[in-house]
Amino acid sequence: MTSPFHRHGIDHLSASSLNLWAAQPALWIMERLLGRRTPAGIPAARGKAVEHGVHLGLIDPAKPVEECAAEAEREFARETALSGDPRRDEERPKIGGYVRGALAELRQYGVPDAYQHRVEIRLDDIPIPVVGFIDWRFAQHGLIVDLKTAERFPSEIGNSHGRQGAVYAVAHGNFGMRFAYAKPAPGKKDPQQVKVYEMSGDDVSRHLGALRAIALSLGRFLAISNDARELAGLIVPDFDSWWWSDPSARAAGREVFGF
Amino acid sequence: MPLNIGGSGSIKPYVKYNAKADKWFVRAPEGGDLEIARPTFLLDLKNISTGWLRFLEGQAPERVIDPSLEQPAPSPGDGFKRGFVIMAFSQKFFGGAVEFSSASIHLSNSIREVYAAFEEQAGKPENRGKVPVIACAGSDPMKDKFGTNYKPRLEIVKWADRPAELPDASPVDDADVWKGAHQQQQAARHVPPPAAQAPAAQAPARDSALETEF
Repeated sequence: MTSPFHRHGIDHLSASSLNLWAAQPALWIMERLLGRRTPAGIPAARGKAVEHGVHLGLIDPAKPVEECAAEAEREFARETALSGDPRRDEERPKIGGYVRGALAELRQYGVPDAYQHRVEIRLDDIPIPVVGFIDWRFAQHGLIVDLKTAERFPSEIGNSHGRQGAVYAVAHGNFGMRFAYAKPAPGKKDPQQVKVYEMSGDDVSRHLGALRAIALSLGRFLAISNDARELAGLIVPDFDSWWWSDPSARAAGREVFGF
Repeated sequence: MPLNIGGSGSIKPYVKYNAKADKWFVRAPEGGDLEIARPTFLLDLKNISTGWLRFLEGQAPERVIDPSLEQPAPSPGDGFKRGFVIMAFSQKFFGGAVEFSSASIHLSNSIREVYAAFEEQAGKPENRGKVPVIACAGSDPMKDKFGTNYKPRLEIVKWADRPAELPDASPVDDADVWKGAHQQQQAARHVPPPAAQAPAAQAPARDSALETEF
């Protein structure tokens, strides 16, 4: 007998998928089960563009930072060319600042030996793998580093990032897992533009446990029916949540959930 | 005892006060905010929680709640402000029990003042076991560096029996409560880069087929 995941055409999971199921089951159903994907938002485009610029600077330590920043700005412009989100114009001037700050910190790690490297782990009792793609691996230091752009530093590695990091860390044995949080500019009181937090072994274990529990929950839900539409009828979206802030997501949600 | 506050996003039903516009809102049945008149309501001041709240655009709200009213949690970091979380009840204005939380300094000052009045009156024999009924009797304009904001005038107008819809319980999840030194030790700290050493490996080519996560 095939698993509920396979019956719905799901052959792998990811931390981001499980985070979405945990946070907004209705959005997960709409995007992952019914295929009504919503466009990546401005924060996601910002993160991708900054990562691109920083990567260029990491693999070529001689490349001028300003060229990396300019490449990131072009990437952001490409990514958001069709976006009507007003935050696009607010974010664009900040892109270079993120790149400059992140490169100042991360070039001290040397040159990464892997980028966007696919990893895969197995969770107990979950019949399909959990996959992910690391930002950078610095094998010479035994470290995985994931870059996050943020207006303000978080006080700790949050649960959603922690689950993502747990997948990367487990897939790399005893590598350390770090998150580099970059701001667009130094603060007035705190000149630090990047803060790097490292997960402990306990963090990894705790988040792995959470991932397994969330995946089990998802599997039980999918087992209720082979009909995705029927499953959608069991869940009510919370359109007030910031997860649904994109107008196209709310429009698609109205079509799927009927209000 | 004074409250340690003075400066929402929630999936629970809520009431909120916009100090900039001097307006009250509840969550509309179809989503979004629905403006209401100045309300009169039961306010569960006995179970109020105070702590640090942070609201960032595009991110889930964060809160670190004080272990008790006597013991403020340490500031978790940038952007967190002192605030409160409390449950309120009015069938007429709110449609039932709702969460009321804010990090607005003016609203927090109003809550601090009405809490002081609550402490004075709660010990009276006729008020024991009852919940204060609060009326918003108006507002006072407050000028500060952010322009003019409003501080609602909240007054205890009477006391009422606790309705079943307003349980005598904390308004916050235990997971949001600061757990003391153990938790403090787990607070993240910046990790410096590893000492420079540089066997510069060649980065692999980017494979676009591997970039999508499901």
